[in-house]
Amino acid sequence: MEKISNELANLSELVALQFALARIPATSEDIQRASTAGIEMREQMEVLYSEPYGRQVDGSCGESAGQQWKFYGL
Amino acid sequence: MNLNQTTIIQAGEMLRTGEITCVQLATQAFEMIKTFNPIYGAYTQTFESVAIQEAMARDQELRAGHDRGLLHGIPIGVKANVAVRETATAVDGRWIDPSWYRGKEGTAVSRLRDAGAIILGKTSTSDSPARNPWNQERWPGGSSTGSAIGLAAGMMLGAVGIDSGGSIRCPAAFCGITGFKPAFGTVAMDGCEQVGISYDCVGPMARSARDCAIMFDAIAEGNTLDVLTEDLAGVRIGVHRQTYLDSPVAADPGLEDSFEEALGVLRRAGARTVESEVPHAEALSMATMLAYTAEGYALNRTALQERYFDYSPAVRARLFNGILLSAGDLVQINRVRTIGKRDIDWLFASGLDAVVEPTAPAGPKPLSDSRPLEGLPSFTAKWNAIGYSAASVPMGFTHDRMPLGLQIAAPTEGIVLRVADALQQRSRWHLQTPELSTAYQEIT
Repeated sequence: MEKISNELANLSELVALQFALARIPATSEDIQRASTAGIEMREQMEVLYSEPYGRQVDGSCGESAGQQWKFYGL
Repeated sequence: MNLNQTTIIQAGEMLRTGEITCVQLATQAFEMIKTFNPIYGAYTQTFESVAIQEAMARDQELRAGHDRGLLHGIPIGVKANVAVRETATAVDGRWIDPSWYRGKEGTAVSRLRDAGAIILGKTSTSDSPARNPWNQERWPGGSSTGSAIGLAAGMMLGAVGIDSGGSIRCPAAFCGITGFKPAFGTVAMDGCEQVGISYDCVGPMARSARDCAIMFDAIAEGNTLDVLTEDLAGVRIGVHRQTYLDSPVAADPGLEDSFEEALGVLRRAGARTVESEVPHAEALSMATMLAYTAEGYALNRTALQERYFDYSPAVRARLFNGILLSAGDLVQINRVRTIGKRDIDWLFASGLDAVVEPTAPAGPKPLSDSRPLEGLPSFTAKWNAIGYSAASVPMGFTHDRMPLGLQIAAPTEGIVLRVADALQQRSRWHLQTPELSTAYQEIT
């Protein structure tokens, strides 16, 4: 993550590309802001991919009968 | 009659004994608004002439023997992003399509109106300048900001808020009023401009849990008022301390004593309290705050393409952060929510009726602080992740006399309101009011 922080300029390019692909006319300040927020969000996502959440845990994918669609909110 | 010391129930009694009329009640609220709204920023828009006309109609009904019930003639405010028929829906004056719900309103507001409530105006969100009535240099909390300010400052007797990660409970705690988030899916969300579609709940804010029950029963066609038994015999309450022990924001020196005092009141009401750690609390709070941006982005992508600069920089930043999560990330967030809900459901199935914890670790930060939300989602957002009902009720004060809140959470609304009401029947924290001042310059 520290490495990513050090490469914020590269990350900004990636974020700018995402905005461009989505056809959202973000300003350069917005892209910078999103890049900084993105690092924080990645750190939080790493927590959510860590144990015990990062592996298949019984009941975590709606495996029970009748639960499969519910997992996707359908 | 002091509006910031009056409950909906008290005002209703006065209306029925003829001590006051609906028009007098609404007029007094508008006098408070004219005096204090320029200082505190509770309302972004008011509807005085329409509201007075409606109050006149409610008075005529009462004189003719037509009583709509406990909300008859009660003046309320409605959060800016909830549609009312009087005006276009706008937050921060900008970010909602002016044609959306124009001249219409959704289930929650129309049911309050049918129950006799008088809608005084639209209340501010975190994007508008606002001050805390307890200390004008402090943040009032958000995002149902104006609803909480207006109650603390006597500009309304009830209010409508929306809670996605704590947006009703946080300002309720910081302004010393009662805020109630129903369980996810109990109240229809039509007419509410949504951001976190699997988190948002529209709910009441008021001066007491009993007043919140009256409003909730109207908007959800519920019957929670009937289950407020004043005692908690047989109720088992889990005490969750980990959030404030682990908080990155230091707990106020008065927090622990206030929390213990509130627990003592609950025990005297007959509840049994047990130390109980809520599993996955931090992960669930993170899940809420992350997925909220993804859901907000999905709802607003087209509008962001078409009218990007109609959104304020702060609002568009909250929404476009959703572009930074991958589809895989969102699936993982849903897995965390599923695991968390399963384990917390089990905790309740094994004998707990409710969980209590502080709503925040300390009082609100100064207005000048650039991170007013720091540490707060850990307290409130986990309950949104699993769709539980939760309330914040006053429970004393910080070392520098800012309100503290007690959060009560459970799978369903009735037990949350019952615990909150039992506490308020035996304490006076919810009756404390700030000293209002016009000594400050108008807020801009």
